Amino acid sequence: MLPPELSALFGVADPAARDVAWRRFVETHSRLVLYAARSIDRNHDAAMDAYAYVLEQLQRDDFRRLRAYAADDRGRFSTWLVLVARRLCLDQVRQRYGRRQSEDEQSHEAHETRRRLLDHVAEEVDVATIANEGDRDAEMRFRVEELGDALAQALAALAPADRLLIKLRFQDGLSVPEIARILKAPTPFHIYRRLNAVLAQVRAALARRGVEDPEP
Amino acid sequence: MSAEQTEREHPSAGVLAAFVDGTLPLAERAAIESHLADCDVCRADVISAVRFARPRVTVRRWYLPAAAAAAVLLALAIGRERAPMVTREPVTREPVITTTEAPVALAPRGVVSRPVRLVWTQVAFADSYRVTLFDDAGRAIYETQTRDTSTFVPDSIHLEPREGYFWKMEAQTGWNRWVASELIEFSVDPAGR
Ligand SMILES: [Zn+2]
Repeated sequence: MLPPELSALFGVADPAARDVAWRRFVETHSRLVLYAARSIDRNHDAAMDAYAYVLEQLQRDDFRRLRAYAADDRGRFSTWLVLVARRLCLDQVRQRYGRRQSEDEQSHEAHETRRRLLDHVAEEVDVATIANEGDRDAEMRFRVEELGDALAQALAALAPADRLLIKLRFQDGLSVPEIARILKAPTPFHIYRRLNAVLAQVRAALARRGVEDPEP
Repeated sequence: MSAEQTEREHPSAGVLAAFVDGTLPLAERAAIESHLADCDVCRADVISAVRFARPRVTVRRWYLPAAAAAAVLLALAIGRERAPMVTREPVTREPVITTTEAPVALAPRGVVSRPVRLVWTQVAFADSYRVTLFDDAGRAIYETQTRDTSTFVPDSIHLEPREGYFWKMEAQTGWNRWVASELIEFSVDPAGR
């Protein structure tokens, strides 16, 4: 069962009627497409360009992309459309600015977010305390440059579901209720509990490294 | 990290949409969570889609003044039967109009013995029920869909005695429309086999 504005689009052969159906489709979903465009680039002109590009692509080849949704509608149409519109916007950015530059930007951005993630997690697990505890027993101590490595390794060793939790919270900066919604947790309280457990795990991994394995 | 990402294939928009909307089977959810853990691009997509969708109110309740409620009832009746306009006595109590009644999770609640049988109330017009079992940390550990109003937790799902578990069920009342029960906590009696 398709949303009405979509079945109306596929159902008509007459070009004029089809135009009307398309206009209705655009009216219904322009807010959504604009939202997707702005989520990629906040700049007004760039967002408007992307908006036009998305509509053009949706209309192309007899609504090929929209027909793909009709063939495999496993989620709600609006959710699907946000995802497709975002991917189209990213394609447009790539076409416009070329692969190289955008990849450089992406790798710079990835580096920045990784650093931010490590900073947040370091703060959360109270690395200073762990380092001091290690100090008491031996002359072992985290050096600043080792810390990033140790944290990154601790995160990489987590189960993927736990790493996802940490990234949503500390890299993407989502609120706990938002995370609960994404991970379909029964309540936000469950996410708090899981977060605490995972952070304790990271903390323990760091402590082990600090005490037993000072040289990476 | 980004080199890995370009080599791997991203899940289709359809699969991610199902993930966001909670219609993806539990077994497939785990694979998507693994992908999201190391793919910044798809994670950003999912976050955007979730933020656009906002939480849906699954059970709508309108508390209306009596006269307004009567008017709504009348409008509904007219819409359905194309009846001619009739005047009606206003309802004296303030009624609660629910578009769809929510299912009630009947059992298990509290401490129960094995095997664990999940039982819930029938919902009018529901053609399918989806049951989800969560562990203490809120991780979904079992999910099944049935037309029945009860089901057993299979032996393959190991329920630790004394651990807290939660369960809820959702009734499908239309295309992509679900009404959910409340979340119920239970644990398994270590003595009772
Ligand atoms: Zn991806």
